[in-house]
Amino acid sequence: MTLIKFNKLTTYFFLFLISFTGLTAEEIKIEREQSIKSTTIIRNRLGWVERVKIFPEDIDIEAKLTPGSEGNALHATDIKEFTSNGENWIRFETQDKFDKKIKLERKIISKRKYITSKGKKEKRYIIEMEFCIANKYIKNNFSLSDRSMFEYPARLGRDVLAGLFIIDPGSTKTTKPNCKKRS
Amino acid sequence: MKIFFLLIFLLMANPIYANSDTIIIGWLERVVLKPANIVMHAKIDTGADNCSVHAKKISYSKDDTGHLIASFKVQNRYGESKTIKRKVIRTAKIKTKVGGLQRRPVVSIGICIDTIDEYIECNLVDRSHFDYPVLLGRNFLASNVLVDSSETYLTEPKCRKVER
Repeated sequence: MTLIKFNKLTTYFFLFLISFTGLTAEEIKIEREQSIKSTTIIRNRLGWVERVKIFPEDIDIEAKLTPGSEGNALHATDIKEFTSNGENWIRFETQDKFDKKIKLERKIISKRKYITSKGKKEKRYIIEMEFCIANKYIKNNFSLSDRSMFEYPARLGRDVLAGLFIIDPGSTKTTKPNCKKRS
Repeated sequence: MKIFFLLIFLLMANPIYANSDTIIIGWLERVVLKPANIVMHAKIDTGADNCSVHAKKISYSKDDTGHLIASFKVQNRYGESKTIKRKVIRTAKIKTKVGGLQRRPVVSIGICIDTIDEYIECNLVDRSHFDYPVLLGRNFLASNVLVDSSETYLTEPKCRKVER
C-alpha cells in the first residue's frame, strides 16, 4: 500500500513540475507561424494595394482594397454611349499600372444618378468586369467615375473581398494575378 | 504505465497557442477613445491613410505656452457624450470625393481595439452624414491587425472594463 501511495505522490510531484514547464521560445515561434499559416489557408492574405488583371483584354492595373466600402469603382474618363445589337454599351478610357491610357468597351448594367455634396447631379455607369486577383477569378460590378485625383485607378469593396481575402494594412502588392482564364 | 500517464500529462500541460500574435478584426469594431474613455463604433478602412473622428462643437483656445487647443464633443450610440481637449498638432488637407480640399485639425487620440492601445494622429471632422463616428485608417492598422471584410465586431476593447 505504501508503495502505491508513494507512486501517486511522485506522479503528482512530476505533474506539479510539468505545469511550470511551458514551451521554449523557439517552439512558441513555430506554433505561431503554424497558426498564421492555418488562417492563410482558409483565406488568402493580401496587402491593401494589389495587382489586378482585367479580362479579356489582359490589362494589369493596381487596385486599392477597401473593406470600408461595399462596391467596386474604376477610373473612367471620356465615356461615350453606343448601341450594339440593340444593347446599350459604353466606351471609356482608363489607366493601367504604367499610367498608359486604355480604351475599354463594356455593356451597361445600369445607370445611377448621384447628387454630390456640392449639389451637382452626376450620372454613374455600372458595368460588369471580369478580373483576376491573386489566384481568384472574379466577375463583379464596377461603378465608373473620374478617379484621376486618386492614386489608384480601381477600388475593390467588401462585396468582392468578403470570404476570400484577409487584408494586411501594413503591406502592398504581395501577389501577382495568377488565374486560368474563365476557370 | 507510470511513464505512459506521465507522457499524457506532459502533453496536456503544454499551453496551446491557438491564436497568433496578429489580431484579426472585422470591418466594423467597437473601440475605446482615450482620454475620454468612451466606447465608439468604428469603421475599419484599409483604403484610408489616417484616422478620422466625428467631432461636434469644435472650439479653439490657447494654453499658457501659446499652443492651439481644440475642444470638441464626441457622442456614442449609447447616448453617452464626452468633451475632449487636445493640442492641435497640425492642420491636414484632405482630398474629398468631389475633388476639393478640406482643412481639418489633427489631434492625438488614444484608440483601443482588443488589446492594442495606441495614441495616434486623428483628424476632426463632421461625420454626421456617415453611419460611424470613427474611421480607422492605416496609420493605426498597419502592423497591428489584419482585416476580414466578411466579419464585423470580432473583438471587444480590453483596455478598460466595458459595461455595455
